[in-house]
Amino acid sequence: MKYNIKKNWVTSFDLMITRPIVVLPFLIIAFLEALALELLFFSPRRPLAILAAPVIRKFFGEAALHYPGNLAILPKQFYYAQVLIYVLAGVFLAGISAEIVRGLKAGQTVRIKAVLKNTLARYPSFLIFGLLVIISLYLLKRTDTFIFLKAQKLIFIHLPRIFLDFSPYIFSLFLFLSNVILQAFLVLTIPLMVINKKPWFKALWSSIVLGWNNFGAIFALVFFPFLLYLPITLLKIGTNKLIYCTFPEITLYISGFGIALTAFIECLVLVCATQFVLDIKQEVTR
Amino acid sequence: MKETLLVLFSVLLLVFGGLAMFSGNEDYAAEKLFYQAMQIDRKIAKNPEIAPVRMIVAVERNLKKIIEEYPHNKMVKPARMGLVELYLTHQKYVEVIPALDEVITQYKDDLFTVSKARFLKGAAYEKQGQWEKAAREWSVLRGEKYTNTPWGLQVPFYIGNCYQQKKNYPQAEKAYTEAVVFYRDIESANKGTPKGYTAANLLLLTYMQMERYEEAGKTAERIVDTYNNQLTLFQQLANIDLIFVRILHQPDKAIEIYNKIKAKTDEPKLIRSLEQRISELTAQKWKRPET
Repeated sequence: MKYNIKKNWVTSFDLMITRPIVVLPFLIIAFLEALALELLFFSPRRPLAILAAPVIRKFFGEAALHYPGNLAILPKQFYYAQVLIYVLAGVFLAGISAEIVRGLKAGQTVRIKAVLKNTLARYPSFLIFGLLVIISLYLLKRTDTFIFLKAQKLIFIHLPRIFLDFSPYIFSLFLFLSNVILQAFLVLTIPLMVINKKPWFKALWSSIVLGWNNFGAIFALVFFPFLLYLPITLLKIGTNKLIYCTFPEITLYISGFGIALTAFIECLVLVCATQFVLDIKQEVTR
Repeated sequence: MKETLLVLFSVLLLVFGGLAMFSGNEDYAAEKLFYQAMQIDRKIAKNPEIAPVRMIVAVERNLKKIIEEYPHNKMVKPARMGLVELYLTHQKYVEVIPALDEVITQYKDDLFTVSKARFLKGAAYEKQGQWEKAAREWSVLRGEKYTNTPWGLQVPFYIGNCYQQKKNYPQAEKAYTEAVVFYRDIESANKGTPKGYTAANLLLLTYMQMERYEEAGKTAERIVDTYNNQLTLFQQLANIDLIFVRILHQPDKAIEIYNKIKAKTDEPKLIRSLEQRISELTAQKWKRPET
């Protein structure tokens, strides 16, 4: 089936603008991440240091408690906070957004309490799926690292020196691409759980099958919005050099800007994925 | 929706404001000031002669701010030393003496810091041509307790070099002779220790300055025999080559010592370079200058 990606994007974007309630769950995720970033920024200082200092010292070393080391390590600390937020709240809130999209497309009046009640009942499923996604991303990174190191030994040493110097960035692009491919198989899970009321494992399986059968369309739906986040990812790789060339607080600003960008991108991808599932369902019904 | 956004944003602002106001800022502020000062100082160091005055003033201002506004903070000590180094680099000898006096007073129990401060104070007087005052500072460093610090150890050698640079050769010879006695005593009393090694190295350098190459060579050989650390053995290679091969034209002696080092090390790169040098020396024919 040839899928009209452009129509999906236009419809999704239009929904986000005309009915901003769809974006609200992602704004709450952004709020939680921003709060985490603030707390991490102030964690080396009293009063937060009373609790945070022993933990930071154990996992990140003494330098992470002093300026500018605390800012150099901030993106890494923030990443762990993002993982925690994603598993505990992010997937659940994305489910709420998918439920809102379903309701709006069905012409229903969206009642937040009802949406919350429906989605809360399935919280354990969202939690399990969130954990699965994190584990998958971790395993993907380990696999990519292994493949890349082998490629470096076999191929890169024969190439000009510049390839070795830029290898962290090349690896990042490689990881980005494989991440997007993985997301193409996982992205439909939440909409399928919400719209088709499937249990998480059935929804996951259906997402993989649909992803396989419509890989081109789903890959494009995911790839182009994620491409907007790529500059932030590349900037985070060169944190130490960036601090040296500019000022240490830049890591805070990049992370902060990344929060806003992530909220928009994740929302767009989720709405596009939900729209895709609704279109498929309509096609099947016809 | 708008109310929700407003509430979320207000919470973020309140949390940020509250933490900024009530967080213990002293350490952070002092560290930030020090970092900013050092960043400017690094830029100045690339070309100190043509560094704009405002950059030097900015470093000085930041460091003085740490000392004045956070007097009990742990960053005060590095700030004081940073200020001293700034003044010395830019030849501000009038400002550096009081700064060093302050360091000596504030940290009188810290032998390491006090010895460095006295050494630099002597160097500052010496640069201004106030030789007696310089000698007075350095004479304090020749005391027993300061020989455990790098500056205390190197003072006798430094004094000899100062006279040498001023082309005052009789005084240089006298200072070097005193240094030889000083380092020999410390070396024999601290054999096998890092202090003994440093004294032996300084003794070797002193002999080289005095052109007493035979004794310098014996010292180098004694270091190889006494100290087994890979780094110390590696450090002596250049000395052995210079003294025995290039100056004394005794390649056989150099080969003997290289073989001793080879027997003491299991570092493959070091063994390879030793074997290469031994074969080069064996292949070469050195002719002694005809008398």
